[in-house]
Amino acid sequence: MKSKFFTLIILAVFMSSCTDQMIEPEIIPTRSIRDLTYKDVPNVVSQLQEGLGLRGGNDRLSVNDEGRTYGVIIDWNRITELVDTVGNTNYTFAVVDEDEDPYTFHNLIIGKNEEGYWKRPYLLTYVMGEEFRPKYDATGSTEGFTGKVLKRYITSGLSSTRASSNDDYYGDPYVSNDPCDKETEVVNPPSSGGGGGGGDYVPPNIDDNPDMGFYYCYAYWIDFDYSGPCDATVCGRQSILVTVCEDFQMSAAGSDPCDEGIDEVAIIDPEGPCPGDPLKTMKVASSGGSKERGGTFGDTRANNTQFHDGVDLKATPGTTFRPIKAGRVIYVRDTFDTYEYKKDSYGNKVIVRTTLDDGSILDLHYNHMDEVFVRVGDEIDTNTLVGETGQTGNAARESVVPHLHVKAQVTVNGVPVTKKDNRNNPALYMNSVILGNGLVVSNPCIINY
Amino acid sequence: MKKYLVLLVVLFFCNVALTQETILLKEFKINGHISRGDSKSQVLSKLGVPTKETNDFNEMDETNVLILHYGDSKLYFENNMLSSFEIEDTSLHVSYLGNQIKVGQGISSVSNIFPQSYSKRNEGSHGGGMRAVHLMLFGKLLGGTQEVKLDEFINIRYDPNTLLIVGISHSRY
Repeated sequence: MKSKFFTLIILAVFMSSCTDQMIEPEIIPTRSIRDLTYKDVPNVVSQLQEGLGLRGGNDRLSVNDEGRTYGVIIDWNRITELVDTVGNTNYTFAVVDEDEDPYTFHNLIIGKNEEGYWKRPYLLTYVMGEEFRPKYDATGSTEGFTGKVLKRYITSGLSSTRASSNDDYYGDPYVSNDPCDKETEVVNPPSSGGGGGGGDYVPPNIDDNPDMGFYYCYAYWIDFDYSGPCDATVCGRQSILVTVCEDFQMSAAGSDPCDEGIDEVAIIDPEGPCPGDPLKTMKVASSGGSKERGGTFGDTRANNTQFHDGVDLKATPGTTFRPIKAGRVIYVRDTFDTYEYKKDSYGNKVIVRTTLDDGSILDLHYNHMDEVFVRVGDEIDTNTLVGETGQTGNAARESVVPHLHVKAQVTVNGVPVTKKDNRNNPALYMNSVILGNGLVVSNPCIINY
Repeated sequence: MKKYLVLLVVLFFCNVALTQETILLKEFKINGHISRGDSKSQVLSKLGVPTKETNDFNEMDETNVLILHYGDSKLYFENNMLSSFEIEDTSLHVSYLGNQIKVGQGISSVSNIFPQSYSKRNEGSHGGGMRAVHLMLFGKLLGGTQEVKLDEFINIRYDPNTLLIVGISHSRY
């Protein structure tokens, strides 16, 4: 009896001493990038076959571009696997470019989320800028690429049970699916053609579906030719058929039936962040006892009872940053010296105003800056350096993690869109995804156009 | 029996290692008897006429602020209630549970009052040159019954060369 009682006391002591104050180790996943070797390829192939319905077939990716067909080949020897901070896995396939333009190259991105579901693949076409071409000519390397990037989602046709004949694909039921991934009918491609490099896919007749407006669809044969060390699993060539939609009279049609089918063009600076992210390294700054969650927007502080009006992005003072959205600079304050403190002040700051697609006005505030590079009235884009992050205003206190405090306010006809304290979550306009616990999903550079 | 003793020793160290320093905002007094939430008239009756009075704007809360200056130290009032303070000289001082903390005092004097915070004093310093003992504050929120972590803190700033306190301020993250 005594022994049991004593044990009970011990347990009670244990509960009181450790339970409430137990500090759970915070495991923050890291992002990993690696080049796959031939040993990994069977597994990747297996996953693609299972997830996307790949089957063996020809070895070329063909593009039917307004009657002109050219082909590219996926290079199985160059597959990059990226596992982001929340467990999404993305494979980037380099594409051996066989088009006539030496200054373009392609990457196919296929990824799946942490639950193992495959996301919509897309093809990135890189067009080297004029300034980059001499470097490329001299080195043959695309490292440090600058230029334009075209992003095309692959919208359908990811399964193709192909025999050796290219004609067979027209019988593939997936081809008749809506290439825009909408619940609208798309006319089946004609059951003729094929042969050769494949891909001579005739665009559906737009007049047959006036609700969809005007668009054009390309057919891509994406075939894989693994020429490196291999085993029986991967030596066979793989092939998929995809279609990509492009509307070409969007303004006339009034809406884009393939709004994710193709995007416009963006300029990429390899030294800068992804367009839409102010900083190249996107991390939320911790905020005292509320940790990283306290640096996110909303009731995130003091046991979720106190409100934070923006997002605190961790940044070493002196780090240059770019705007989340292109727009016009409507306010600048640059009167604070480096580390100058003022209670309850944002210190040096810039406000950039953007008109959103729906006509509402978005003001994004960048606070606690050190140097300011822009002036009121400047029209800036997502490549513009706004200034340097700092610790001015109330952030100029020891123990405050240096950060860029980004705040957003949306107004319609001058009236703030109702959110707590008339503030909106600036993370909604960023390229990276900021989770409620302060973790940032740094996906591959998703380009906002 | 030995096993129990070993377990008790382990639990003791577990408790010591994991207990978080709970520093209550309400226990801080200015000059021994002025608390956060006191009205301007209460403060004036206890501290006398300030060096000067100024008005300012709290950009983060978008509210007007009255500041009473005593020498280089400042008391902030929002809605006629003492909301915050910045002590930069010996005109004012704070106390916590009876322990005085003053500008000019050695920083090691706070090691007994806030041992855990003191042990972390070199964390988070910045290019301004000073260091600080950073006190994370607990308190009851409006309508609340439990002491919870606030988004407020007190910094006891000190000169790393002289190890003397140069400022005591209340602030928010």
